Amino acid sequence: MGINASVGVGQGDDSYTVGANACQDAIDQLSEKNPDLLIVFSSVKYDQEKMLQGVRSVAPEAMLVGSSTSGEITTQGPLKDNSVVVMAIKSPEIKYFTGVGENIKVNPRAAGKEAADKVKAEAGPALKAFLMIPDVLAGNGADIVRGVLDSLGTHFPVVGGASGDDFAFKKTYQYLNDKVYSGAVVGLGLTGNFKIGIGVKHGWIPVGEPVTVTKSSGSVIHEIDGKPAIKIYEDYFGEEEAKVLRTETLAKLAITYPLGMKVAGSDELLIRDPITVDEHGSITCAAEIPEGSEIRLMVGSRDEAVKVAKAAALNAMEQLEGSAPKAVIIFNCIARNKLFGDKSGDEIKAIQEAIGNQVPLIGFYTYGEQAPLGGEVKNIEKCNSAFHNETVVICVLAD
Amino acid sequence: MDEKNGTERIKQLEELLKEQQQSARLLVRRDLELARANEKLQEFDEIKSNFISVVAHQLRTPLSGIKWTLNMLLNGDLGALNNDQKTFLMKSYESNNRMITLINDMLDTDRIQSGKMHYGFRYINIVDLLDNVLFEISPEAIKRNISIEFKRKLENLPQVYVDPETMRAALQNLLENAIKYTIESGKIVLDVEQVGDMLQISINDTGIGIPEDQKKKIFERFFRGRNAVKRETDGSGLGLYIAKTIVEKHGGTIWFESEENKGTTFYFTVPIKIEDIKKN
Repeated sequence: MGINASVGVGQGDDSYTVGANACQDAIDQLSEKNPDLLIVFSSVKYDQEKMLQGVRSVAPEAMLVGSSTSGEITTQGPLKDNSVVVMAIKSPEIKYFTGVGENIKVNPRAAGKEAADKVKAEAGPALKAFLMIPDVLAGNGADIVRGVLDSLGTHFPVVGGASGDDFAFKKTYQYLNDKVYSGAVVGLGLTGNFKIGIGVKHGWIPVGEPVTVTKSSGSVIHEIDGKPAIKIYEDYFGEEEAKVLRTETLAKLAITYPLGMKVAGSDELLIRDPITVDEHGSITCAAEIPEGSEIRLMVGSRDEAVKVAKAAALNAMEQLEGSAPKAVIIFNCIARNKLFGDKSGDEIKAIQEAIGNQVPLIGFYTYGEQAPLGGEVKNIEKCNSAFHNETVVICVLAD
Repeated sequence: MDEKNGTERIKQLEELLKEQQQSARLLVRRDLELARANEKLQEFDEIKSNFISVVAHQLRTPLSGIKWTLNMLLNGDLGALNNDQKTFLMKSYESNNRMITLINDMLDTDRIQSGKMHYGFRYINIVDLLDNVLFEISPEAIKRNISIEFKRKLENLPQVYVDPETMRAALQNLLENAIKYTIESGKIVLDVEQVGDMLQISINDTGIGIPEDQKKKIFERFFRGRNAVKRETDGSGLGLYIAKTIVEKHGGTIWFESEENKGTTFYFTVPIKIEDIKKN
């Protein structure tokens, strides 16, 4: 009797009913009807409070974590219509502990630490893995991860995805049990007898020559090679597009052309998403790019993205040492969804080729991902959890 | 001399770097243009899709109304009919049914293409589903004196992991084709067997077959075999496209063997329940 997981989907107009239907659908497929844990991902189309009440009306006892998204993913692939998706998990071998850190806007690092401290206090030294759902529209994502690691230790396997809001970049939500938060980070700790495999890859390719960040503070790049940061996009995109860059959310235009910087411990450049640009041409990213960093403009290709998604899934499977996968949680960047357009299912299909298309799968399109660099979890000394962008993070659970 | 060469080399490399940077800019701009064009196409596709969906739904409602009215007339609910009246009304009824089928195929195709086909996978017994579809389509087979039989007794088959609704549509399309293209008093033989971790379902008919030079196109949308068009059998050319998409969405494959004027066998596979694979 090991991990038993199932995934339910709810679609429609009434938030409460859609939430309840999604949860009921998941529980109907579970052999025991009282799940220990619910993972809930929802479109912001739904009234978040009512949606969550709907979910809870079906399973009031289960522990619940979740997030608003920029697109939901299930075993059947990415969903084209706004949905609520619920994964229900039952296992006598796993125990769950939760915590929330608020006020990311004031101090992201403290918020990350607060969430992890709460989990650690309850779980104790047996804590095996930490899943986080932060709001990165409120503050520097890398700082939130840093805060989590301040609590859990420098080398600790952390996975997660930053909440989305259907690509509007206005307000995102995090869920913990009966409560809907915003500007917070929700943490879930796991202890017990189970295996976890983590795959992390992006597959974006650098173009053009490297440039240097000459002035930055936190997640804001002020200058690149001594010029306003936005110049890099104006230079590559040309005059026509450059005009639009200043009038619309930068993320909507530049998300498929992120910035990449070299970091130790990963054979790929670490990606940073540009989100907004101010009147001085400073770019705010989803996480920091330290001053002095050498960065490149990155481009994506569907073929490469599919290839690395499968490779990441195979990496995750290897870490299970032969055990059968029982549940898959995917945190996939919204940029990848934009890159694929209506072919976003290809990427999930490639992942399922490695894991199996009958293994219950839940995921969402995020504004940033958290995972150990290179997916390293076995050699704990080399496990350096970081904040990623434009990356697919695959987390597989097994007995 | 060496110093001069070195300076020239550096100059060349600088030129090359400049050119490379220029190429990188061009690449990004082209990529951006293509991405924008693609977004536009997707918008148009969405508009087209919505249009088809609205038109098809609007057509389906009055067609259902006509079906209901014709049914009442044919049942004699509005008074007795003479034989001629019955014959002509029956023809109208069948034509109307064909239009409903065509509209449903168009809606299914649109749902497939726009990714809106919902799959709710469950473990089921495929033979139960097959029996169910057979029950529905058997009146047409009986009418044309076509026998449908199983090659062997279907026992102890493992459960399969499918979405019953769409899998039913795939089976129905394949079986309806088999009946449609089989000559009167012909025979259809069905078989289900386990092959590795899949169940293989086959539908063999003694129909008109598929012309050799058209075999490659048979799963394309709106494609209809030359001999099928000649025989004036009705069809949208969407059934096999729908069946193939559904089977592949289940992780299975579909293929056929066919000889013109002799018959066709369609095969497709569906995944077996994981626990049952281990058992066998």
